[in-house]
Amino acid sequence: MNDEILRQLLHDNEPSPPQANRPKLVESLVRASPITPPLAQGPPTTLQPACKPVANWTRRAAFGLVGLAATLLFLALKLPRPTTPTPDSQPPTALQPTADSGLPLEGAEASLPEFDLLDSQRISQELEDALMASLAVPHELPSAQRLASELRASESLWLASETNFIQRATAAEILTSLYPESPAAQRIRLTSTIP
Amino acid sequence: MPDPPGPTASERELVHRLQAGDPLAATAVVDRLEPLVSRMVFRLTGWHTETEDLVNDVFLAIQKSAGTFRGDSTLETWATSITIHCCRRWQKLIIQRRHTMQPAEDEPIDQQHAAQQRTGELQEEVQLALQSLSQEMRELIVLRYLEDQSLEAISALLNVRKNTLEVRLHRGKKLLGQILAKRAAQQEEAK
Repeated sequence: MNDEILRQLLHDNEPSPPQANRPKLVESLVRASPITPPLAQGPPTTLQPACKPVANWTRRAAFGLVGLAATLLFLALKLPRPTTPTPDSQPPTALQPTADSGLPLEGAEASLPEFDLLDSQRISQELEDALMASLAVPHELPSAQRLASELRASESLWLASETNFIQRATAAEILTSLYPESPAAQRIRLTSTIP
Repeated sequence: MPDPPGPTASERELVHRLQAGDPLAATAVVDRLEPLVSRMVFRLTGWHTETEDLVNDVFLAIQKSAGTFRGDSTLETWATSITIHCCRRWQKLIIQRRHTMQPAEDEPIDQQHAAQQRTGELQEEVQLALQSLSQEMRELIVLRYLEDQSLEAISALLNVRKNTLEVRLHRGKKLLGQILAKRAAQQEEAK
C-alpha cells in the first residue's frame, strides 16, 4: 500500500476524539500530588509540639512513679501494727538509734509484721496494678481532670517525702521538674535547699 | 497553542511545580498537553472512545514521572513517550481481561463487531483494521501516518533503530492492506 494512500485513508476515516474534562483532570492532578498541600495538613498548633511523644512518655513515667509512690505510701500506712507484744520482748525505747529518715535502724524487722507468701504476692499484685493504672492515665484527659490528677500526684509526692517514704531530695527534684507550679512544689521548695 | 521550539527552563519549572501540586501549574500542563494526550490515546488505542480514564492515568503518570523530566526533549515529546507507555499497559490489561472473560461476556463485543461489519462503512472498516494490529504495529502506523513524525523522531521516541523501524513499518502497511482487503472481500460476499 502506498504511503500517501494509507495516510490519506487514515486521516479521512479517523473519527473525532472524545473531549476530555479538563477541570476534572486538573482536580485529579492536584489531589494526587505526592506533596500534600498545606491547606490539607493545617498549621502546627502550640498544643501539639514536635516533642509530643517525648512529653507523653515523660508524663506517663511521672504518673507511674507517682502512682507507685502513692501505692507504697498507702500500703505503709495501712499495714497492721503489732498490738500484742511478745512476753519476752520489751517495748522499744525512745532512745533507740534512728537513721536520718527517722525510721529505726535496729529492731525494725521485729516491728514489721511477718508476711506470708500469699500476702507478698497480693501486695506485689496491688503494686503492679497501681503502676499499670497510673501508666494508663490518658493524656487526652480534659484540662481540668489533668490538673486535678497532677495536683493529686504532687500532693502524694509531697506526702511521701514528708513521711520519709522517699528521699526528700528526690521528691523535690521530681516536683520542681514536673509540677513546678503546684503548691506541693512551692512548699518543698521553701523547706529544702532545692532552688 | 503553538508548540515551543525546544525545552526551556520554564518547562522544567512548570513540571516541578506540577509535581508539587501547584493548581496553576496543573492547569497550565493540562491546557498545553491535553489535546496531544487525548489525541494520542485515542489513536494508540485504535480510536477507542472510552478513554477518559486512560487520559487521566496518563496525566497522573506525567505528574508521577515529573522528577525524570531532564529537559533533553520537549514537554510534548516527553508526554508522548509516557502516553505510549500507558497505552501499552492499558492494552496488556485489555488482553488479560479478554482472556479471563467468560464466553458469554465476549458475545456482545462480537455482536458489536458484526453489527459494525454489517454497516459496511469505510470508517469502521479502517478502525477495525487498525484495532486488529498489534500494539507495536499500531504505534508505528499512528506515529508515522497520523502524527506525521519522521522515522528519526520515532526511533528516538521508541528507542528502536531506524532500520528496524523501516522493516516493521513495511510489515505493518502490508498487514493493514491485507486486513482491509480481506474485510472488503467479506463485505462483497455478504452482499
